[in-house]
Amino acid sequence: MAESSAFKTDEEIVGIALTHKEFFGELVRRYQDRLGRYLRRLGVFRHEDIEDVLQNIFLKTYRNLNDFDRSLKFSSWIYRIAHNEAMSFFRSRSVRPEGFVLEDSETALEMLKSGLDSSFEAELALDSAHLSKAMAALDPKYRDVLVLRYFEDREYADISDILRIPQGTVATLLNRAKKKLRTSLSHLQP
Amino acid sequence: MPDELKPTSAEDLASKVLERIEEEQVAPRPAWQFTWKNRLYWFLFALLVIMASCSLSALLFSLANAGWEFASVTNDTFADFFWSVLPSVWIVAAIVVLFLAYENFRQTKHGYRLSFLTAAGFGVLGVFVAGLALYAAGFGQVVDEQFGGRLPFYESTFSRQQSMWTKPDRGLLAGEIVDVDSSNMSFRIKTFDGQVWELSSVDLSPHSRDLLMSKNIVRVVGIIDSVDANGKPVFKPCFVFPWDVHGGRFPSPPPMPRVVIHVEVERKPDAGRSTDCKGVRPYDYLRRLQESRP
Repeated sequence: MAESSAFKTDEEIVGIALTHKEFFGELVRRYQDRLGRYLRRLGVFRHEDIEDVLQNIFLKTYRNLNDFDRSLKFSSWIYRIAHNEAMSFFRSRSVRPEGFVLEDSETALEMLKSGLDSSFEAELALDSAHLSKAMAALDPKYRDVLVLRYFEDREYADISDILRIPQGTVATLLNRAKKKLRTSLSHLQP
Repeated sequence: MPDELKPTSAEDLASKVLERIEEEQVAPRPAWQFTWKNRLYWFLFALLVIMASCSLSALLFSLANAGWEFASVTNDTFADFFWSVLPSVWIVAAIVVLFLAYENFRQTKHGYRLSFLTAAGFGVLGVFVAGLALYAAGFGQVVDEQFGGRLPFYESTFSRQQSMWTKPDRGLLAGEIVDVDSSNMSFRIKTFDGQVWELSSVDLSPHSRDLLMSKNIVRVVGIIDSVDANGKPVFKPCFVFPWDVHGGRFPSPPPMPRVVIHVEVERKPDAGRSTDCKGVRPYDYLRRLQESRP
């Protein structure tokens, strides 16, 4: 089964998993690490919590397989479920953690730096510690779009599908998020 | 490596998930549930758009029959008139329902992709076109009267107009023509409060007298001239205007059959007319208004 499913697309595996549930395990293997990192970036830090939320994500995905809209990418659809489950997790704890983890994301850091104004980058010495603090201080709606754009490397259309907001709103939120991040970073500079 | 960063092996998690699926007997929900859920959202959206259109049709009916041309006659200031006829209930209803329709639309499968401005633009346009069509078909009046009859805080357009035009002390009467007596230069009108007034048509212009013959429901602008032997005020009519209904028809019951007593009398157009009516305000405006009508 492992060999036969390895070359199938996510969308093909969804179709098969509806009648052969063991194929669903392939989707879990493909998305576990990515979604785990995404959850950490959203603010789920403890290993046990990440595992619990991941299980809930995959169970919900399996339960709603017939709701998968083939006009979307499967990755956008499962990220949408992951985002909603993370929000449910925060609501159940009544608080969203304040920190932001910038681990294993040098590429993302470089992308974010280049996404900010290049003249601004030249003026300030951006480092991970400052960026982590500045990201943690952002309003969640701004942080979420920045995470999806620069850390998850999603296109605007994907972010629109994940957060269920118009693409124009994605662009607006990203612009505002970058402005706020610049302001935050300038205050953090010595 | 801190515990919180230690990854769970992919095989472990996949096995755990599949185990839970087996133990908890988790199964994919049937496709029809999602299909019908989406259809329900679309149905609710359509229902809300229809409701918004009905509100708009009632709003248009209310505005069209507010009696704008008589604003300076029925009220001291235009602002008074405006606030008294503004159909705020329908404006609020249309906005609230349109907003609910937008929120509902966003819950449909791809509704979220449309920006608020685009969705609102299409929504407003659609509701306006539908509302206009409903108004033209007479549905605005139905909505206005059905709600007028049922909501304690709402007064239907006709009810409001009837109250506004049953103020003889202010020189305003309106109602159904019962009979016209050309020989005596008089006519009788049954006002909306059920009273029957016998009025002289001496001071009416030929145009006004013609209207008495041709129209069933009229508005009469006049003055309180004197009191009779019983102390009842004598109303002197100066102008008669037809009561036209736009986007509907006059509410039931149907008008009573009129009795017209007509005797051919040679008479000069303004013969016998006094100048008392010149005291009616705004006299010049009312004269121009009457002359401008066919």
